[in-house]
Amino acid sequence: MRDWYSLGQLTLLPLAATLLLHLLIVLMMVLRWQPDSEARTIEARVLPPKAITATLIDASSLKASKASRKPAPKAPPRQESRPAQPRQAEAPAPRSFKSEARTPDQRASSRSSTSRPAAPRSEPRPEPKISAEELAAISRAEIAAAVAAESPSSVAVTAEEMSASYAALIRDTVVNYWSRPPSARNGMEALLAIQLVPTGEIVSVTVVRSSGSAAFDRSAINAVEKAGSFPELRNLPPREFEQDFRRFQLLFRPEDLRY
Amino acid sequence: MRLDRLSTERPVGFLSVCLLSLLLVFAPALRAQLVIEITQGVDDPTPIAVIPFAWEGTGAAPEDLAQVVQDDFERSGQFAPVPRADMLGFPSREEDLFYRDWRAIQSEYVLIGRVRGEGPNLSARYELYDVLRQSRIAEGDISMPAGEARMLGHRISDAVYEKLTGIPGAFATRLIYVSVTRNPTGKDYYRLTLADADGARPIVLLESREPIMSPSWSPDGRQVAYVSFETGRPAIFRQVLATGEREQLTNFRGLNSSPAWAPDGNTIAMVLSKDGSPDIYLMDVQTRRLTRVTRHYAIDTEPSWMPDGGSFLFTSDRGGRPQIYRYDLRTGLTERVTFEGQYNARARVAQDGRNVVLVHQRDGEFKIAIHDLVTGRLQVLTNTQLDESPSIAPNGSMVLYATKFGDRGILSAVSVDGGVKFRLPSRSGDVREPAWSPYMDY
Repeated sequence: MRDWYSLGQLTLLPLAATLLLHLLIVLMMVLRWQPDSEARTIEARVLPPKAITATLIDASSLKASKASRKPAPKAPPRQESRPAQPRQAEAPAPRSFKSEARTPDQRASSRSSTSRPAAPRSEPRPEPKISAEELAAISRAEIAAAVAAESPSSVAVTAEEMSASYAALIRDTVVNYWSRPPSARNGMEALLAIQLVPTGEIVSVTVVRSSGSAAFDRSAINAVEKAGSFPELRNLPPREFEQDFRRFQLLFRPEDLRY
Repeated sequence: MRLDRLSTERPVGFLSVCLLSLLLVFAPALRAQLVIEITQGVDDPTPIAVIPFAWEGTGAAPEDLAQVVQDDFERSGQFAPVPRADMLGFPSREEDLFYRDWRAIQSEYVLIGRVRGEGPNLSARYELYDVLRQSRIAEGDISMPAGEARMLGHRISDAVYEKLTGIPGAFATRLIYVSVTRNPTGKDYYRLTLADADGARPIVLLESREPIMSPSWSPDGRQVAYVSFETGRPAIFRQVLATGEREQLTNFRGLNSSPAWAPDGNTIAMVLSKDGSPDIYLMDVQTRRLTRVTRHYAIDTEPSWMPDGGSFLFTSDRGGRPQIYRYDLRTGLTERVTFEGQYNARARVAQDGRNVVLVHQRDGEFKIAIHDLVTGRLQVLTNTQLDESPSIAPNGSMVLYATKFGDRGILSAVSVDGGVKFRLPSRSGDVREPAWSPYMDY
């Protein structure tokens, strides 16, 4: 051990530390990339809000929730919110943060099919004691939490989901403003490049690939211009904003026309 | 300091650092840009402000052209003109146009214009601005004889409509229809009437105490063919609109009906029963030579040409109930087109060769429906009971038809998606059998 250590003529400690650090970065990047490549087309990834009860969260609480990211498991609330109500347009991402920041026993409570925020322990029930199933549920949730905390992929999935839900928000907003000309046909495609600033204001809209019809292209541009800005993006952490929303593309391709 | 030493003295470490930084540098490039797909829309009417045009001539303006344009857009259903009361000013030049004002009232486009009289002519300049992008997207000068002021307005509508929707407008077109004035003491009055596509400026082409039926436009929009009973029995006539010159084409025993001008302008398809049951014949307009096309003991009637002129649709009850069939002149084959419902008749093909408007019976009521020749799907457009004689606009956007309102026959129009319906004004009497003209040249 000592021989190997001295072999390097230098103290290997800083080198090892640097390498480790870089390796970590690479690992994080790789873990982020993998889901990225399949999620580039957002179309299929409509994510319902993580929790319907969420309210607005300002930046400071965002940071707090970010700090407490580690012990928070990701999987249970996600499965739970799938059949939830239709997604709402406002700020889905803070919700995802909030659900992350929940404690494991809160999670267990929501899992045991009660909508109340109280922990299962304090619930009024016919039995004064916690049943074996509930105990099992809690411990299962705790195990899940621990497992999730171990694997770094939970962080990556969160960021991914967050940008997907913001992408869905943008899409729904633009859909509401898109009025197609009568010459539009299913299968026509116009690709626009959008540039945003972190406040959600649109800086530029340019046609990357024209549909071939000026009226169709104009309807697409006007849909974005009418939407004007996406102020909800202010809640997005700068990293995610830079990554996905500073520059992104909108593909207009009607599928719901008569023909 | 340590980093320095590391990078200079340890080649392996240096290399790996380089590699890592390279990876970091290219990481954003490797990531594909986020693409969000928009596959749906709402298709609300587009708000447009048609600002009253400035009159640069002597005396009073001959016609409020901006109002003509605004009404055209209103009727199209695809636009929601901004009411004049909401306008914050009436600019007629670009320098007076403040986009902020028009954005405030949520107008997406602004149309301004100036009209002036030049001798016997009236000329208009129009400019169309995109409020959201703050740019001019169309402009033009149109000139018409002073008496055609409304047509000038319609032509501005056409140009703007085409710019905004990608399909040509059909506002500067015309209609012919038959109006009947009831005479309780004697014979009714029949009038063949020509009017603008919005129903304005009706002109009587022919007046008769005997029935007039089935008006049909020539493809150049200069002549009409129709059936008149003025000789005591049905006969097919053609008439030149500009001169009023007319010619009797047929005088056969039995039925002479449903003339339909072929796209080549030289052939008229018609229904004659001179050889037994009603069948479809083609007549060469120049030589008056007749060719029998369908031969069937059932009734074949109401021919309507496909835009390529290679085939036509017609109504036949050869299957027991009236349905639409297609006869192909190149192959001589007949195929059945409609299968939905017990009754489909009086087909008219749109210029796209794909949409067919027809009369469809559903729940005992006669309604206007649109049939897609490609998908075979049929969609009912109207919700009135006794709809008849559909005629489709040359741009395929609207369908004109006759229906009953109270006990009167009136003309109504519906958009091909069924979204917009409006009635055309008629002064008196029953109005029936509208025929929408092709595009007109000026």
